[in-house]
Amino acid sequence: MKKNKSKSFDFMSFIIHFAFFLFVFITLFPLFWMLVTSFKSPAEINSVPPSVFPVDLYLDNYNKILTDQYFLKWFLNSLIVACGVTVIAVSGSTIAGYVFAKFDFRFKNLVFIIILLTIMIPFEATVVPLYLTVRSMKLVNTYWGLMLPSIVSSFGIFFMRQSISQIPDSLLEAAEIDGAGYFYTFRKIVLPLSTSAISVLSILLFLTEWSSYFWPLLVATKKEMFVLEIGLTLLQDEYFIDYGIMMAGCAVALVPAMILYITFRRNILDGIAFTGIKG
Amino acid sequence: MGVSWNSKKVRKYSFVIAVLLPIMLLFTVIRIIPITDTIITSLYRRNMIRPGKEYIGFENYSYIFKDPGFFNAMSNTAIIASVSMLASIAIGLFLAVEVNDSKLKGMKFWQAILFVPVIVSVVPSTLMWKMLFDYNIGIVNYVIKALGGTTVDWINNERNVTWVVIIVCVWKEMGYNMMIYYVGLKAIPHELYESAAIDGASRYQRLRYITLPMLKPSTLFLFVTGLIKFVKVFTQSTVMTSGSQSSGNILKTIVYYIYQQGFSFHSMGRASAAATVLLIIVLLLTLLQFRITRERE
Repeated sequence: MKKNKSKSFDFMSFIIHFAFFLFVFITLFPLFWMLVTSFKSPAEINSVPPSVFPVDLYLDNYNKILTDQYFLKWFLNSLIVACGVTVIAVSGSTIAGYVFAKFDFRFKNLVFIIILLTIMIPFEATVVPLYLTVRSMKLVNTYWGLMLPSIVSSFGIFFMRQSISQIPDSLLEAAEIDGAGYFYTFRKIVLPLSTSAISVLSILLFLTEWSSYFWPLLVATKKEMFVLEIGLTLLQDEYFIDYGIMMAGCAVALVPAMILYITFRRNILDGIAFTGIKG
Repeated sequence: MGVSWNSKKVRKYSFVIAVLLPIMLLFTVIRIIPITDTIITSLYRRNMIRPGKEYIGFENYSYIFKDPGFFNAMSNTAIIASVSMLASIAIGLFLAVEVNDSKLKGMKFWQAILFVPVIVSVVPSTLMWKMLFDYNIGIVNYVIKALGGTTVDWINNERNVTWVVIIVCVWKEMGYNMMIYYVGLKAIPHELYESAAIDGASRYQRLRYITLPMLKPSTLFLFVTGLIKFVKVFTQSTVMTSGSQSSGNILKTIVYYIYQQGFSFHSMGRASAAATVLLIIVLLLTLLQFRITRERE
């Protein structure tokens, strides 16, 4: 009897483990297939049955995109826009987080609630007026135009306020007794104690901006101002898709995110956990 | 004494204003004015290129609600959003429970692997799956053929491509849901399981009577935030169905409809009416979330 029970239990465990590793497989397979395809020649990509590993390592796909007149420019544009947004939005969020965490002033709650309410506004519902604003400011096809909608982050302000409110008041008061200005206190005490929150927020904002597609589609109309996400879709021309080149492009596009993930995995996962606790 | 207190107050207020004024100004320019503008413009006939506007009441709304294209966009969005949300919740829960319970070695590693799609940007994710479902060279059709079936045109058929788009959405979302559930699981007191074990509860009973009820807050959170995320679906569906190898019939979603009305047809009024509908949907979902969180407290 007992033996029987443990046997059926094992079978159930087997099914569950099998399902689990099926999902691991589904997670990895598209990435794996992208990588191997990027090393295949067009003839090999079209061969039936498909080869798993490239028969001979075909480097032309990478050669083509890296010598393409636009591809590296698009990569650079994405990098400039994502870094610009991150630096500006994180700086703003940190200093505003400090103000909301450690200062008392009139209308503080009202202002904070207004900022939180803007989280609810779907960006996609504002693109038409936003585009007209950017057009009237002559920012179409500029980095500032690409960055504008993301340079303040209500989530970031909320996130930094939570983190900075953990810093003991006594530390800040000590600096104030020494006659330090608020900005000096911010730079010498708040910033050093917030580095881990700042790095989590930076990574989250960088990854979000790197992935953005809709706004660059509207604001960048000149080929040399495209970001990578737009450029990748253009690697398919009108008559056929050269999947080898396209997958090489995708592989290069994933490099920054992968480097960040491998280096800061713990911070990223903690940051994600925070977004859940918030709700 | 009074003077020095005053000067401190002045100093404080000037710092607060110096910080918050530019930030609030930016919020006004990029969030508050545009959304107000969208709502107002939805009541006007206004062209993106030509100047001038004319008040027409709710005519834009009656136009879009009669437009089969908008109905199509709404129903596609509803299907993609609800199926993607439900599937990623179910899979995320399964993965989190398995990572948490399993005695197999290396679970932390597999968890980190399962999270990878979350950080892969949207366009590459979509293009990878587009390749797997390609009519000629896609591995999916190859497997179907090898098993004796007939190949399917996944990308050019609206119903089929809806499923492919859902797969991309779920693929990118399930790792996130797993993490949220995992955090929730870690918060469940161990004693609950221990006393259940003493009572001889089966795996299913533990899941049904302890794990699921304790995870209810996470489920509600993922339910609403998932819907909010996916009613705005645009990139996956547009990239999947544009370019070559596709008939040029873009899979329409609400956001695509806004884009098309505004930027292809230059009808700002109709685009704004559709955008206002999207705003209302998201606001209703957010209110639902507030109610849920309030009930929890």
